[in-house]
Amino acid sequence: MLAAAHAAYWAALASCGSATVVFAIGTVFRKSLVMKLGGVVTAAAFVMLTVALALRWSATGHGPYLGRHEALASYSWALIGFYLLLQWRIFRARAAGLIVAPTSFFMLGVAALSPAAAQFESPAMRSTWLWVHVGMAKVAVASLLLAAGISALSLRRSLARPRRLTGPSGPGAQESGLEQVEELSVRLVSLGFLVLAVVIGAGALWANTAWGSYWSWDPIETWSLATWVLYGMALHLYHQWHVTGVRWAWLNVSVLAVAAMLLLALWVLSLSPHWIYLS
Amino acid sequence: MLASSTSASAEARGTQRPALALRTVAPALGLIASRRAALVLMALFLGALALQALLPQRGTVSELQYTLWRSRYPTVARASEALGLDRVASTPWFWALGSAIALSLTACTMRRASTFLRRGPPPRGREAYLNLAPPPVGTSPAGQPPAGQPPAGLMDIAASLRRHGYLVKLGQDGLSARTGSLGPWGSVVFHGGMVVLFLGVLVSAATRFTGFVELAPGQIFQEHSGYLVQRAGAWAHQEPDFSIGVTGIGVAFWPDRSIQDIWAEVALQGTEGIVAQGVVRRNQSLHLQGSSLTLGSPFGPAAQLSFRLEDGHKESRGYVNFPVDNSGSRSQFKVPDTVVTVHAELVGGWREFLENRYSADQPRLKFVTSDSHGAATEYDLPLGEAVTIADGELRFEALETWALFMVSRDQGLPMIIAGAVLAFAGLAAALFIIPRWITVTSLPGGGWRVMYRTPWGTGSLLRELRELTGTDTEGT
Repeated sequence: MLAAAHAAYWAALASCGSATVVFAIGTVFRKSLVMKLGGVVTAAAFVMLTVALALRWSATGHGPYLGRHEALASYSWALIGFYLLLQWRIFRARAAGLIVAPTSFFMLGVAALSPAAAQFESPAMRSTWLWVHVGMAKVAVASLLLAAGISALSLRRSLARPRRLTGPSGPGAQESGLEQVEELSVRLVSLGFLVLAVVIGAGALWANTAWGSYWSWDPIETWSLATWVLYGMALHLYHQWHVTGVRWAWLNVSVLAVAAMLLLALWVLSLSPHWIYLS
Repeated sequence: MLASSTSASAEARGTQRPALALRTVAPALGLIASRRAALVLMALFLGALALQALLPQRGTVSELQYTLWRSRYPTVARASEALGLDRVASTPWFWALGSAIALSLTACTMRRASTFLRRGPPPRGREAYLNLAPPPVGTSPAGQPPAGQPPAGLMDIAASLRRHGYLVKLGQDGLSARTGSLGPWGSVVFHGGMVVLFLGVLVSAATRFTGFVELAPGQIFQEHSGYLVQRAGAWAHQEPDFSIGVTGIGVAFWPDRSIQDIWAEVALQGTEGIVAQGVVRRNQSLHLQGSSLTLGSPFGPAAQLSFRLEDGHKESRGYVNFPVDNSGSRSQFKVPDTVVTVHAELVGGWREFLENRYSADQPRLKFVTSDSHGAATEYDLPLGEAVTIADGELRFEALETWALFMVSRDQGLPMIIAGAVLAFAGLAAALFIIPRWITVTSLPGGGWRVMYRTPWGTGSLLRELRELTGTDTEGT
């Protein structure tokens, strides 16, 4: 069964790579039909990845959260799933495929290079709070990545056609595409921020049963709190200081970049018990 | 005259004193309650967290890991230690920063709550407007509305707004509507919840303790003089206020010998008899009088020994616990009432024996004694047999499994949980309930002018208006 899961996984990886190319072509040549095709290929990748994760789950007897391979594959699954859901409801979100497909391809690629052998689940892992912690972490990461992707695209668009992005304030005020995109990215950041709070809370409850302490300033715990504070600052800047339009797009992309760089630095430098589950 | 002038100046001082105090305190309070201060404090907190995450913290990583890191980066380590960055969470400046954040949160919450209570959430966001064209001929009832009644078109808009959850006030030639009033309150609740959470953290830091004790089946907690307690980073002994009786411990293994599950059957006894009993396993605690009993990760074989003096009158029993991963590691214990110290290790098929009591390869206890003169004697004692040592007989009675039990008590936890729940509910309301204010007035040439104000989410508001009025706002 693990062999079948592996085959489905590689098919998903290939589909993500193809979707990246298709979205790039669609964006460069501004062909909506090609963009639609990109959406279809991404949906195929999602189906393959779902099959791969389900088969692996069935074979190992535990959810996809043990080891870097499973963690990255499931984060990728959440990101693609979130994107598909969003572009199904909001047409303008389809362009975010240009960010989602390569990001997923990169994550799946790193997962492919990581050890894929099944790990046994320790008793500490059998907890409802761990499920909430891990599940919500995927939602949070997917929504924050997607929000940053949407902001990056709006930046690209606004750089191509320089225009001041502000709220409508005069006669005949119109709802522009860029404003809609900004609202979407703020909503996604808000969702990610809220869910990240759940991730931190559920993680603390689980840590108490697993490690005997709700909070032990473990580097990854501290990083998640730092990321939460960082996004809290960004939302304050948006709502209280009216950092909107292009400035919001820059801010959103920068916040994700800072959080990602800090995580990368931790990966290289820090000694965290979390790496037991993510290596 | 003099007296009256003195009293007059005293009166003047009396009236000036509070004003002066207010003048001194008010700017400080204003500063701490300001959004700018909040943002600066958050940025400082973020910096502290980043340093804490990147630099190894004593107490979080093991001493061995810290020493290895120190030898690899000696310059960074020296600088980090000199600045107290090796224990960021316990430095006074970190606590001062946390307190300043808590103060800022409290001041912000109180200021906003008092404003809201007096006047309600004020409209936020820039005011904008759009003009709606008059409805096409034939779609609206002909003629003027009866005196004192709003026009029919306005009634339609009002009904539509009400259907979408707006609170509508209808006037003669216009209406005002608002929705999402809970949103600004959500922000107050969130910040209030964070204040409660901070208070809970303070109470927890002052009162929380965690105690650890290793027990094997048949052992009772009160057999020990107390258990090790970790409080504020220091270790001490704590007298137990209830006893834990262990009747059984079970361990299940995966095929690769890693632990699949571990559980223990226990009974907790307070002053009024048994108050709780059941199975404790990883992630399944037992609770008693504000304390919780949890099973820790480590476990291993426990050799039960008895020592009987030659006269047969005095018998002592005790356990020697061995780590599970390294049966060869040495454990030390004292034979009761003698001066003999014994170094022991388990050999034979002890692991198989713990899983199957009828295993062919029975465990043996190998140990070395040394008397007061330093003379060493080596023994190899099979399970169930005895040897003569000093003035008595030492018997290897049984081999059981020991487990680590953790007793913790945290009086700040209810406050932390209440604060977290409040903060979460408030945050959800603050982020997803967008307040909106709308005014609709009739235009002289027919049609309507819609003034709207929303702190954000203008795009969705315009979409909503389009749905509400049934008019395409584009091109109006």
